[in-house]
Amino acid sequence: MREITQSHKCDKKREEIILPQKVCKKFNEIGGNLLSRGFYQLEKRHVAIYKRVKSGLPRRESERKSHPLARYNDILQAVETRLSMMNMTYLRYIENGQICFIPGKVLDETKRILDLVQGDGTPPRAHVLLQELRDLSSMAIEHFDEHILPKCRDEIQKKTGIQIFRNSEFHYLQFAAQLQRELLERTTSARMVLHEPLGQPFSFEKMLKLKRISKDHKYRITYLTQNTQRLNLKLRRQNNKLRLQSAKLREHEHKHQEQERKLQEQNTKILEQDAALSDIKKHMEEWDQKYKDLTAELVRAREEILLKTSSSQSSPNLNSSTQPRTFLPQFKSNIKPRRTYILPKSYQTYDPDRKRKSSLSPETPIKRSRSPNIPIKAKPRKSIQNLKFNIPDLEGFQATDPISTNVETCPETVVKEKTKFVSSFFDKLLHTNNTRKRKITEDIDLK
Amino acid sequence: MPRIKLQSSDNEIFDIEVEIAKCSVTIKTMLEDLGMDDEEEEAVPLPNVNSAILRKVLQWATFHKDDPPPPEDDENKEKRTDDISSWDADFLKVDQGTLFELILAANYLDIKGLLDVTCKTVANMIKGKAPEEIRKTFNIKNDFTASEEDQVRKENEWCEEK
Repeated sequence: MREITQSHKCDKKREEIILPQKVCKKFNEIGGNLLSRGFYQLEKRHVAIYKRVKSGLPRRESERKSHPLARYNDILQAVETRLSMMNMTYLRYIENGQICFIPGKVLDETKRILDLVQGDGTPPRAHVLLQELRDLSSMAIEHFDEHILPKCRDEIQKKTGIQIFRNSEFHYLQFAAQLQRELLERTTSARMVLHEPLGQPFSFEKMLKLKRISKDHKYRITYLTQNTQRLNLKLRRQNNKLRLQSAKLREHEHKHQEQERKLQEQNTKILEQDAALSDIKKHMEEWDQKYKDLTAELVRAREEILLKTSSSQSSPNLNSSTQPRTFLPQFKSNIKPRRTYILPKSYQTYDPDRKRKSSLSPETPIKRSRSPNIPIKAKPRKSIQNLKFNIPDLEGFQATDPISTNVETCPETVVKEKTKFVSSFFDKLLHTNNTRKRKITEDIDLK
Repeated sequence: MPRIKLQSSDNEIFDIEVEIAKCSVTIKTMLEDLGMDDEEEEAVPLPNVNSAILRKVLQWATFHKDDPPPPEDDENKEKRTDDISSWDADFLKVDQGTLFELILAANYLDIKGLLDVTCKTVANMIKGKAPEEIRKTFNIKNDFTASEEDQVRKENEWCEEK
């Protein structure tokens, strides 16, 4: 029956052997044997293929790299490494009969690789081809070290302990029986002490035997002591290792904690910086707004000034067809440089250069040709024309302007009066705007 | 055509051609070792095979008498279980008891072809089944102790994906 089961299991993949192994002890045993046999067979097969490939390779290492068989050689070398690792891990315990070769999947994967190597096509690169095998074998070895090896070691220790105990027990029993016998004999001989001398030959022989036994025991005890010492040494070494590892662990933990603390600190710093950034942003927005307001205000102020100046210009010019032009340059020289860069959008068509060239024409912008006296019929817009200014002096001046009537009679007085008026107007104007201007510039400087 | 008589365990005599009987390596070796007379009347006793099974074995051997001798087993060569011919598949559509007796007979008579095909059929019955199903199919008792079962489970969990 066993042969039949074996023969049917031969047909199966190693991986598939795992499931029936769980059916019963017999299945488990047969499955285990098949797995172990499969491992030996694979090793043999690998050796045969590797030998064949190696014989085809040149002797020189440098020439081997460029040889067409180099890839095969690489693959087989890697497989050899894996197989020897598996061998070192499992073989000792397989030979002891404690376990079978457990990782059937590794066998399947190795077989697949060997089939590829033996096939006609060129195999892929070693690292690609061997990825799965590497993974599987390392998984298997890790699992073995963690879960199976401790149990195997326990079993070995139990077995050897029992054997030693049995051996020693046997000897001790023998020894005790002999001692008992001797004592009995001695007592009997003691009883017969009067009749015969203390059994000389008996004691001598026994002594020899005892000596032999004690010698034997001595050897055993020394062997056991040596073993114990060795084990103690191992234990001490492992203790040391453990201590070192725990120290390392502690160190790592400490480092970890420190890193966590640093991370937290950095996080808080980042949060703080975020808050500061948002504050700055808010400030920036506020400043932007302020700046906009200020610019608007500035523009408005400039416009006001312009309007005032223009109105002051235009009002005397209304009746100035006969007026001498001599005072104009004086007036112009005061306000012209300011007018160039602060014109609103509606004055974009205004070319100051052009104005500068023609000093004869009055300095009124194109849009300002509409006199403030002319009623504006269009819908009120927020422009310079719609702005109202409180210049009572100017109006008063216009109303009582003697120029229109007495221009021909006394031009000198007219000019004087005009210049006086204009200068007083500008003084007023400058005086009223002085504080405001300063404020604006202060604000700008602040920015 | 020389003929030979085979006697089953229940004393039924089967008179068949020697060529068919020689499908069995056991009978072939026996005939070679003992020699055979043309007028041999004595039947060859087969105490391990009953008449029903012997009939089936002879039916199989008659159908496959002209087959080439099966190749020697190669240790490295993997066998397949899906290469059973349709005739053999039909032939082996029998109850489990007969199938196992056929396996035993093929093993006893050393008929490699029949042993292979019967074992493959059993393997196909096992394939893809869970341990409990296998136990149920073949009426196997789970004789593992709890710790042993745990050990086997532990041994095989190395490749389970987490």
